[in-house]
Amino acid sequence: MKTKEALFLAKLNLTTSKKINRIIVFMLSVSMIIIIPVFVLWISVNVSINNKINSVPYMLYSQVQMKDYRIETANEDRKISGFENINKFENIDSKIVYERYNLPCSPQYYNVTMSVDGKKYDLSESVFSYNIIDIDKSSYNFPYNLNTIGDIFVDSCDASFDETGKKQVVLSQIVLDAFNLTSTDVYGNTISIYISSSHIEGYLCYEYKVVGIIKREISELYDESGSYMDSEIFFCSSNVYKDGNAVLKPTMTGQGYEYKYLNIEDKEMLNEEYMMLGIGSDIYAKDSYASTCIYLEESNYAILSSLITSLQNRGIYTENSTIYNNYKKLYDVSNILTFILGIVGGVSFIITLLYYYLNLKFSIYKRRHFLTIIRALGGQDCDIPKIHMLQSNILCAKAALIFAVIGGALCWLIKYVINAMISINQIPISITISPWIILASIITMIVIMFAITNLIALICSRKLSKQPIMSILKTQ
Amino acid sequence: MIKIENLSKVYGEGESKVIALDNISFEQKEQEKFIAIIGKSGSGKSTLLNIIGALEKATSGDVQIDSVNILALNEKERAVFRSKKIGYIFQAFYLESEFSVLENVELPLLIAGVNKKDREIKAKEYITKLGLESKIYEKVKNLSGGQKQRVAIARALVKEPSVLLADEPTGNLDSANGQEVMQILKKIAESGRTVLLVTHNIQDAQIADKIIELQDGKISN
Ligand SMILES: Nc1ncnc2c1ncn2[C@@H]1O[C@H](COP(=O)(O)OP(=O)(O)O)[C@@H](O)[C@H]1O
Ligand SMILES: [Mg+2]
Repeated sequence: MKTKEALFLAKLNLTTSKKINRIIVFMLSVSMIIIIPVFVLWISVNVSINNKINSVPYMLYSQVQMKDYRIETANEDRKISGFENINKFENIDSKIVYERYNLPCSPQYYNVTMSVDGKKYDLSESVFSYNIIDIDKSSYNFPYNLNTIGDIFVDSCDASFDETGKKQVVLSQIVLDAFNLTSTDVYGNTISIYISSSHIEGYLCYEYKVVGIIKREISELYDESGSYMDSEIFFCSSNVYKDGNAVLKPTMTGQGYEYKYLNIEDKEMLNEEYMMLGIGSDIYAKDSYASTCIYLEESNYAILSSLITSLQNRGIYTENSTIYNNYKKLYDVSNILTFILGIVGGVSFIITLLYYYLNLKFSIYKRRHFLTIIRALGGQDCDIPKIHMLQSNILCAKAALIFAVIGGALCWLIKYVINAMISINQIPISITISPWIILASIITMIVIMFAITNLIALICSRKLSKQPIMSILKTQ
Repeated sequence: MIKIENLSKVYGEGESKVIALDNISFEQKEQEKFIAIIGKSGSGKSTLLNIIGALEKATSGDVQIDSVNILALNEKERAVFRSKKIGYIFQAFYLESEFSVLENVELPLLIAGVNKKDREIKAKEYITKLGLESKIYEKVKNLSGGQKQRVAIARALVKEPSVLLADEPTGNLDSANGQEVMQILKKIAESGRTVLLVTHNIQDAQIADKIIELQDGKISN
């Protein structure tokens, strides 16, 4: 039978079970009206997040245990590289960049020791507690008054190498005060300052010769604008040692510093994220981790997500208020939503298909004599599946028309609902739902629907078309 | 023209083996347009008719219709053959009761790929010939038994087949309706088509040009 005639017959066949067909079209439409917006939402959220993540250089702060590494400062002009690196992020929403600084810094437990020519001095109790109180207050006042114990020491040890490569340090009076030492105790001697806490252990300076003392007031440090930058520079300009061997060395390039690994194994040894950031760490951030800042010029949700997971799996603290977390919140919400609705839509689609299958099977059984007569009157065997597939196509076309209009409209609506929800939750992202995604989703669902219903029609009608004509006509 | 040689049909195997047709041969002569096949129930009448109509395969033998050996045809060719040459009238009608008279009658033309306009003209012509013009858009389920059989006859004739096969077409009808149907078949035979009528009613068979009597799958006359 030619398609034109088969179509005619298919339409005619459909008139024999109008009510059931209407139910099938209705059910197909309803399930697709649920599935399509869910599909669109899911894609759009992913695309939007990925677009957003990829459109900005992404910065991820994490705090890496530096226990295994001994870090020494070795630069003289610290300001340069710090600003250089920070500038890289200037096109990021400043809110995001500075978010981390809104977190209170909490120097819960530090143990700083200073050894002068092998003799150890502990931190003075009074300075310690004084600082804690002060730090807690000031650290809320972003950005300029942020200081911590770590900061004081970092800022107070101006370590460098002399021309012959000998390590030397200029100490601040504050450091000496903290250890109840006087300048004569340390001047000309070799000192190490070791900081340890629940998480960090490292030398602020190691066997440096004290070549000078500067008198500076604590208040001066607290008020110093951009002092956190200095701290960033601290590691930027530092050498990194492991087991007494240097592994990472900063080299001067133009205005800034670059890290250079001394051999490939070092690269493996060091935290990869430390390598990637090339920015530096500070020791005053939350708890006692050295912060690292991961700068990804190319990134997507998946990369970030896996990076963060891998960091967290290694017990590394990651900031909770980065843009990533906002994305994650959105992503999670949308995932839960799409999961639930997807299940509802999917189940209703499956029920619809089951309903269609059972009805078709029953209808074919009921009409087996007439359908076989089509063959007896000269129809080919394959005409029977063909007619039934065309029937399913007609039903699908009707359903497609309905759900394309309603589903498409819903997608637009959802865009506004979701963006309203997002703005309430102050997530710095908006979902754009491109008409192309809607179109593609509708087309995809139409194709899937057509394919499955055609398959059902084929499965239901094939057997009948293969049975000998008379064996069917002879049955009652 | 129908020519049958040594035709046998065996159903089943072993214990349940049934020889429905046992080495049947006959040849239709020029003037024998209306052939009646009679015999008791189970004698093989329907089997013979179905094999001639290419609805069933034979176990052995030869069946030639208009010089075509239909037993040598494959499935597809058999369908084409049925479409071109054969019209069927079944005892159980096998109409789609939800379709209208017109839709049922034009079905063979639809299958043959005749366009909508032509098939409507043709279908209406035969519906009128069979006196059903007032029922043309009526659903078949609303018709009486006699009317249904006439729809079935119209459907069998609409393609103007060279061979019309009727398997107990009056079996479900009262005698008045039955008589009417017999007259219709007679007219068709007179118009030059071959009509093969299966019946167990000897009276009906009397109007045929030739009577073949089957007994246990063999021609007994
Ligand atoms: N599909 C079949 N399978 C097995 N036996 C069959 C089948 N069709 C018919 N028969 C047997 O073949 C014989 C002839 O049947 P049939 O041609 O229908 O007889 P009639 O039409 O003369 O009543 C019967 O004995 C019947 O039981
Ligand atoms: Mg019979």
